[in-house]
Amino acid sequence: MNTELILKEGFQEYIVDTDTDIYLNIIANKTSDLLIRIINAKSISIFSDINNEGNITILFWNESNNKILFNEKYEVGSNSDLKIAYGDLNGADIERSTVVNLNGPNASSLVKSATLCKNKKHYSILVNSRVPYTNGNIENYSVVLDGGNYKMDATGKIEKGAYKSESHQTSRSLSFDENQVSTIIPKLIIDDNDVMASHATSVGRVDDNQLMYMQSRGLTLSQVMSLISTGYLLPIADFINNDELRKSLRENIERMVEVECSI
Amino acid sequence: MKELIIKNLHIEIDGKEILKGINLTIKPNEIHAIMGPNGNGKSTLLSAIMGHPRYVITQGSITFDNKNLLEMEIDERSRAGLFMAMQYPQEIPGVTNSDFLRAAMNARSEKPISLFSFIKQLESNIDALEMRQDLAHRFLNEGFSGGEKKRNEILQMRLLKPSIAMLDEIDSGLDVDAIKIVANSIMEEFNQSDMGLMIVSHYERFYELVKPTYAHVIVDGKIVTSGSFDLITKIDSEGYDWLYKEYNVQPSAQIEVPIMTSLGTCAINTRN
Repeated sequence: MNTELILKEGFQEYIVDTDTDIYLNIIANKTSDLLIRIINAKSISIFSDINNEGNITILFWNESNNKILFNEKYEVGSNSDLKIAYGDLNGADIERSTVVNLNGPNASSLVKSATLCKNKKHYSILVNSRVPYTNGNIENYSVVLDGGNYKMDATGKIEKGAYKSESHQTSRSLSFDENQVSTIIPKLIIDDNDVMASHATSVGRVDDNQLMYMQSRGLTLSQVMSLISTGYLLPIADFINNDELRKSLRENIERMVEVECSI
Repeated sequence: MKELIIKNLHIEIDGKEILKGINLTIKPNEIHAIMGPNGNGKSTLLSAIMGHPRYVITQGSITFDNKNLLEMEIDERSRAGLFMAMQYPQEIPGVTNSDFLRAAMNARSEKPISLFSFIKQLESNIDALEMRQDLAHRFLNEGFSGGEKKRNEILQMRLLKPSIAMLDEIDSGLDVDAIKIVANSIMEEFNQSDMGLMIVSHYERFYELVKPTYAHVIVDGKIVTSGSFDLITKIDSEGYDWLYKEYNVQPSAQIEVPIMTSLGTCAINTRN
């Protein structure tokens, strides 16, 4: 199924609920906030070309009970900004491949994910600074539960000649016990000297001293885990500046963490 | 009477005996100063009472309010009325100070505290400690200065209203003005409640402000002497040497260090 989605100014919601493959061409040149609520699909391919000082924020909220393959490519032109976020707290497998090309001066992007993982959730994210004066950011937070298999292959690339560009990434994965797999590959591929780049990663259980500190104030281990997990995942609810949406997503996240992260 | 009674307490860390028979009783409305050279067991005593899993109790007992503390987990001890202000408060990214405080208050009450009542209590205590209002909404201790962390510990103590509060070098990292604010804040809570206090500090200046009822000196894992405020004054002017001679003890040489952890490494691919 091929669909063309022309974004208007302001907030809009698009629901994906199909048994087949979907190809979505997002046409966006304004200041738009888009919530893509995913109920069902076999695979979702997305293409978007953002130009003319476009300022686009897209939040993917995944509620699917089935495995979905995602294949996304975004071309960001000069003076344009793209922010995309993945709220993947659902109980199904995911395979995501995301490529963001920053093609014009002052093009910027943020790719962010919040993952509650008790299945197989694999991500490949590439943010590519192709010309000077671009800014690419990646931020991933995951809570990996018993039986979860999480992989984040995050690459910030600055091509030769793309001087004065910046590429930054942070990926953090929190786990509760040993019966899970968390892999983060935080790559920086830098081919120019006059740039700024950083990467930060942490994988593992909550530090014992942190646990003890919080428990020493009367919180049970389960309450501590819920508080920390909520802290990892909740910021995704603020991604789109819409009070009603924020409230509903926060409630959703808090409920899911309470159910899934209590031990 | 909610008394904390410690009898013949022996504690090991990693197979090494740190406490070698501590006897101490803390009653409500009493302030006990715990002194002694570094690395001789003061912090270990406080952490063991609180229930730090690293400390192995090999002999002795700790009871509080006639309950055997050694059978209780750390969070149960807290809910029973114990509190420890840490020497090195942990930073918890992702969890805001106010969410944490509210969860901790709710953990010890039958029904959740209303948002209005919580904010009222939080703000009045933040004012009393002359803290910045925004610290309530920042992540727990993350990016706080040393002094802000210590004030945050006392903020927690005032909100959680323990029966016994143990303060581990709460005055370190505080400037002269901040020491007065924190000491006044501790004493205000003490005077309004039946709280018993155990205070570890090296400085008479701080003890002047909190006026301990008793002072105890721990050397090499034992309380070698106990006394009144005069003992603190004597140690402040003369040090510990006279005490080593008089009681024929040698201080333990080990130094306690905070447990540091680091995660992750950074790799550079130099291949062209």
